[in-house]
Amino acid sequence: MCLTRFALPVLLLAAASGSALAQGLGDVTLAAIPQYVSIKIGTGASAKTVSQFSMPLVAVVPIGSRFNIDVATAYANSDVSTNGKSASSINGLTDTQVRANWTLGNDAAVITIGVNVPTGQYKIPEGNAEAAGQIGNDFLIFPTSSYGSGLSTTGGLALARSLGTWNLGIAGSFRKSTAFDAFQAKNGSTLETLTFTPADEMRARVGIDRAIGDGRLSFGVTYSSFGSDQYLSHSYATGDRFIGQATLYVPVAGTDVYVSGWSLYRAKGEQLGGVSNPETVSDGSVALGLHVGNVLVEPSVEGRFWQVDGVKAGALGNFGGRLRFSTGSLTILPGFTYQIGKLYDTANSGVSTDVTGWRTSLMVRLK
Amino acid sequence: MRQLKLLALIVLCGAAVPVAAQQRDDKALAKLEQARLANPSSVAANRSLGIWYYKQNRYAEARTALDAARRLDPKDGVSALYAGMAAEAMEDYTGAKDAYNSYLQVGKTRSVRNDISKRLVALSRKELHAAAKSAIANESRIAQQPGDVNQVAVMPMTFSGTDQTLAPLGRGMTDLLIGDLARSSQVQLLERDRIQAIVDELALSQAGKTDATSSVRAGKLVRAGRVVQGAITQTGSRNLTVNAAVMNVASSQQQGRDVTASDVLDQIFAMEKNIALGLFDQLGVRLSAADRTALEQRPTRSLQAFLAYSNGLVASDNGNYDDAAKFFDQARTIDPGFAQALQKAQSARAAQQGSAVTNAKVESGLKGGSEGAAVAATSTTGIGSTLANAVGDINPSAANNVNTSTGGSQGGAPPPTRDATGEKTGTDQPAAKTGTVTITIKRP
Repeated sequence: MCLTRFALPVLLLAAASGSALAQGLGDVTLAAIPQYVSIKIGTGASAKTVSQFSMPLVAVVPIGSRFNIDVATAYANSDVSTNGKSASSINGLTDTQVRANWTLGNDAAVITIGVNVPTGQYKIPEGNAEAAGQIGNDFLIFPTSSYGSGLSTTGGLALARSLGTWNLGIAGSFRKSTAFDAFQAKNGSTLETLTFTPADEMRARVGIDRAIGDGRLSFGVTYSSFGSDQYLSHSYATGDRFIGQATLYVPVAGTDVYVSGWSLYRAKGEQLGGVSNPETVSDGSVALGLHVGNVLVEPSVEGRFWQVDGVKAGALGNFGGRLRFSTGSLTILPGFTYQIGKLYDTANSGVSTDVTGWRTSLMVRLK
Repeated sequence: MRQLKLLALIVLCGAAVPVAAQQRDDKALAKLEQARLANPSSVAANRSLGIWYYKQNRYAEARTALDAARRLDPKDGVSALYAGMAAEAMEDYTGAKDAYNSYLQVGKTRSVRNDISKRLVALSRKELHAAAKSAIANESRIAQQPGDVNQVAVMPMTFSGTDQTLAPLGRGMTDLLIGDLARSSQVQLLERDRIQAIVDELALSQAGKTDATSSVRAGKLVRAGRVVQGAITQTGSRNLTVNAAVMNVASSQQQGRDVTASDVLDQIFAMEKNIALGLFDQLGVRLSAADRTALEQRPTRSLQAFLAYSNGLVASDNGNYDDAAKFFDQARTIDPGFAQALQKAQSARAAQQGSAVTNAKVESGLKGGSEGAAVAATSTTGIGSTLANAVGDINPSAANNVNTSTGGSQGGAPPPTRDATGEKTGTDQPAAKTGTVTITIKRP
């Protein structure tokens, strides 16, 4: 079973790559994006460190000018340690996403279909649950946020058209999820498998964008509505999500300037043992693209804020840089970011915990 | 009935999409034309319009707009690149080479520069054949303009004999003769590739009609003052006779006498030197002592290496670069000191790779860089990126990250999906929480 789970994403990637070779590598993109993240929460002996090494692997295969398929999976090792001692960890493959996009007309519409193939980690033992859960936090954001979410399929349609100097994009999708064996827990002397069924999800997105000289300005709002998650024979309502995004790219005197911001709002929902309060995560970043010979140097500054039920819950500053250069058909993007911030106790005003961390990545893209 | 209605609806939708696309194309063109009219000195406006025309296969209009953008900003690599692709589509290979060379100077995307470098090698053969076709089409005009008497064209030597594996020696011998005759500064030798392209277009070599008339005709087309024509004849199983003569193009008469050399096959390099010396006499060239010493140099002394090299020339002339590279490699393996074989192998390999560089690959290579962003921002209406963003958000995948543009810090995008189990169990919260969870499992 374990071998099958490992073999499936390999086969899917190999099939995509094989198809790539059949039509000539020129049109195909293969990428590996190894990343390491380590975030320390608190100070002294009680400090908790959540770290993750993640290696996403991606193949994007165009078939003709109107159809493309992409396959993505990852290997990830996540660990939660206290006082330098590992308290919970999990490692292995994640689920594999296979997605097909079909373009209609002259970029008039795209039909998209995706399948989440459950090649990831399931029946997670109690001892590994913390590591598996911590990486899903919407404020800290880890490269791999989930090891497995069961078999699901997504179908969607996106339309675009010009309105004067602006472009308008409207899209919607529906995700149908199925039950999966999420955890294993001891109940007395027996080992029980706890089944989880994620709620079905409906997404809608509206976006507008326009050219500004050689640059581009874009705005988008994505709304997700969920049914109820099923866990331990109970239904738990899931708060709807809104994501607003804005990006501006503009070259200024030979330097690329990027300004972007996003805000995620999750409405009130239910969770095991009580209420899941509404939360908002907002983020703003500025990055520059400096052309130094054949290398693009991208320093960046990013600020992120978190509120739970309207109360300040966290603030984080990211200071990083990334290089970008090509050699032959390879594009390589090494990057490093230092993170510093605080988590605030939403119940006790004025009580806070320090957060420091760093993340590094190395995207290698073959095109 | 319900299914019929559904089918009719699908058909109507299918018909509506191209109509809507056509209407949008018209609007996009109007908008881009308007933008250029409003600001004719805008590089972005001219470039956008040019790229739009290029994508609509309206290459002449594309070049007009792109050339305007290049004049306004000679450092605009994207305009040069698209101007090159438009020129190539119009079979103006000289214009394409000029634009591509500009891109190599000012283009920012290294992978595209690599692709264009290889493509330029492959383009040379197309350029030569296009020039040959053009010369034939304008033969009556060109024939009236006499070439410089010092311009010498060596026609491909023909081969006749029972052992056809030796036939490629004609190309090899021609190549050696051009190299040797070029040692004198008193004559200017035209490139073998250029003459071969003319010969191919005239289909002289296939018909074996390298007589005086056809050689003179080819000489007129390449604007040569004199041509060298020749033939290799196999006499017996291991013997060759090589004949060569100089023709005056203007008078269509032979200049001087025939030059002949006969020997066993293994002495082919000595025969070639004798022919070269004889041709210098017929061309009226007096060699200095230094020239004579230089003439003694031989690129190889191996007949087998030379035969493989000659086969490589034939394959290269036919556009079979993969085979050509293999033959040149073989020559190099037999004689590691055969420098010309190495040079030709590298050239053939670059041409082969260049042939595989499609326009789609070039455009795809721009994506993810600042030049790709410029294309997305200015080409047509950028509607493709509008769609891509929409699809990426409603059906997210890690593949979204691969083609993202530059900029933005790592982790600077919102989480595309929720971790449902972490959210429901509360294990996704970073701050430590304490509490008691009571799970009641009812008896069945």
